[in-house]
Amino acid sequence: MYRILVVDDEDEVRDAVGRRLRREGYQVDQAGSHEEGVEAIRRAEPPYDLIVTDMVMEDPQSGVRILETALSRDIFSEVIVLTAYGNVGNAVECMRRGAFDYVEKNIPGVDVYELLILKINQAMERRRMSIQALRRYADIARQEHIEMPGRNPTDG
Amino acid sequence: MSESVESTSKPLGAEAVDLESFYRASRFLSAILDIDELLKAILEEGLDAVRGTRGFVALVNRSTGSLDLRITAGQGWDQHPVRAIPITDRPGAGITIWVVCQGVPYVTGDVRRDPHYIMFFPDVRSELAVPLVNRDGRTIGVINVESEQIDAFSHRDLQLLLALANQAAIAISMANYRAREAALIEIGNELSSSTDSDELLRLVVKRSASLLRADDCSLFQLSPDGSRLILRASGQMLDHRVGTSTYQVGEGLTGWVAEHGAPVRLANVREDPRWRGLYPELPPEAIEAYMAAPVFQRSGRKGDMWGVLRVVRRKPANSILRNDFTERDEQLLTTLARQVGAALMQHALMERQVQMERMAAWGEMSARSAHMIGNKVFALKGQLNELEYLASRPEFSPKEVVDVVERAKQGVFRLEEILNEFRDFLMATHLDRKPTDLNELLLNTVHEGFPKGGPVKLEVRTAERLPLIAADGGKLRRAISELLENAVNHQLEGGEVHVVTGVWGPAEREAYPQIPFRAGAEREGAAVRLEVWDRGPGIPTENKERLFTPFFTTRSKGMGLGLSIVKGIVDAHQGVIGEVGRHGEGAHFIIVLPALRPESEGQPPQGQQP
Repeated sequence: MYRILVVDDEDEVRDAVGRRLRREGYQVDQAGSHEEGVEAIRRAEPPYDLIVTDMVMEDPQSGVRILETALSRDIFSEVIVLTAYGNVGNAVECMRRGAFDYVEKNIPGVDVYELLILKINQAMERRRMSIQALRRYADIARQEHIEMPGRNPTDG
Repeated sequence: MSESVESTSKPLGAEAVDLESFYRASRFLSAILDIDELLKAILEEGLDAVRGTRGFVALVNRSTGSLDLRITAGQGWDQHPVRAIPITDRPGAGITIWVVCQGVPYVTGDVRRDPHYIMFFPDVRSELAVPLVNRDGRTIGVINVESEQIDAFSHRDLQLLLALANQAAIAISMANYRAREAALIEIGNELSSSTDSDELLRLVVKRSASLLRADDCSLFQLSPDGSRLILRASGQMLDHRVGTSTYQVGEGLTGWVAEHGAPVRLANVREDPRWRGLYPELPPEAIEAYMAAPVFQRSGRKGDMWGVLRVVRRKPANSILRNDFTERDEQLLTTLARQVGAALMQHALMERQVQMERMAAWGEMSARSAHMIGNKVFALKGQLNELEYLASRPEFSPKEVVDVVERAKQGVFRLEEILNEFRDFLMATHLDRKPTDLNELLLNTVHEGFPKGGPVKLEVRTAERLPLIAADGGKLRRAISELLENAVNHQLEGGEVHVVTGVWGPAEREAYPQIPFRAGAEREGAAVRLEVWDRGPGIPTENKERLFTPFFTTRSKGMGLGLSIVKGIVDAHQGVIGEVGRHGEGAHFIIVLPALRPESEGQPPQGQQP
């Protein structure tokens, strides 16, 4: 089952998101600041499949920091950014740097939790397909006796 | 007989004596500063020189219309009860009164044959009275000498006494100048230290009336578009019209002053073509004198005009005494108007600064509020999402539902807390102020609010006889409670909180230069202080600057609005709050609030009508 890290400095936000994700069957860890989040990402073994993070915590660049850490730990990590009204610009910046998508917390009339689940599923699907593609290349390389650089995804 | 015979019949040495007297008297003028002392010296010198038995100096009192005996010399005065003589031009009022009304000297060799004489002392035979005349040609008093000898006073004596009277008149003028100068400086200080704008305007009209010896004073302010003058403050008579009486610029005498930016000074208002008689303090026939000057802020240019300051004098009961304003009075009014302008401008600047600080706090608060409210609403949506899910399942578990609802209630509760703090912040500056005893208010707050028997000990020390303050009791209690609560919350294992009240004066200012309270702290009883200190961890130096800004908090709970609300309340009371403790030794807050001025303590503006 997928392992997800939820990073947000508000207790109630972490709780609410955590509950919804667990209901979906995901295994959820929480971090209350971007420093905690960075620490958790680095120490996680194996790395998290997906990270849901707030945009602004200790500083306006919190979301970006989490994204950078996650991607440097595992290229196949997917990150979904939570943003409040007015922070869309920053969120778009995150997406350019590799986040999967952003979700606004306060869109009137929208059930953000269902939207989040939808996006998580999409993100996991993309991840699955990325890994699958890489495996196929690795198999081909083996058959053709071509050296593939870096870690082999079939190695565990 | 002829004067020249009389004068040569005196020995030549007499001239030398006269000159000596005169010389001595002029030395008094420069040596003696106290006016009573000076007049006494001059009188005694004069009495001695003309060899009189007794004498007095009396001064005209324009308010009462009487001649008040000021200085006496010679014998027999202790038995004499009369100290003031009503001034009248009816015949038979006495020599002295005659001299005052006529403005010329009078000498008589035998009072028993004199038509004007009124007896005060039975042994008098000769009398000599000379008027004291000031630079405007107005009789301000009399020097009177008497003798038991018949024909005691010569023409030379008269001349000598006239010369001395001149000296005395100069001395009195100078004393008046000094008094007015001192009063102007005093007023200047008072105006610049006043913090409340209504109080400032009331002070202006009161002091102006008193300084110019006017019966009433009114202050008009130009409307923002510069087309009208609106009554803003009245000494007494137009009090009920404050805020409503309006002149168009150019209308009436007052309007003329605004239009031309120049003062006006009149004795007979009705004869002036500009007079409209719209809102006079007195009925026009009762007005003895009228004067109005423009009030400028900064330069003297028309664009900087704030309004018009106006004073009137009532016709004295005694119609012989003229009481109109002199050129010197006009200069005084103009100077005063300039001071008023400066004070008003400074006041406006200060208010603007406080407002700007407030707006900056607002801006920050709004942004952060949106963020916090947004997160809490997001969490609530989570609870609703869960409820929706639970309701959709066939196996419906009431316990699970109750659980979620409980969490939703928590969320709403926290939202309402934010709402309340928001409202507190809003309302911090809307005050309903009444004269308040700070000690009483403090004791009530502590009695109701402080947890008794807890781990934190409270010690309260109140000063005796603290001046009253103008305070909104509810808000001030809120501010004090917040400080007490903070002190308790930072000493959960136990500790102490000390609360002290006292005055705030030069000594305190020196002890705590970081507390920026200015308002006339030189005056005794001008301000009061409230201190709250504890033995908790204190405030780290790096936090001190932002201590009172909204959302500054080192605690995980609460929005951190508390101290910014306290500051808002204190600011709105025209006070100041600061923190002077040392990190590691506990927090130490000092609140300084201006005291109610004694004159304005609930008294209506005084009317001086006898």
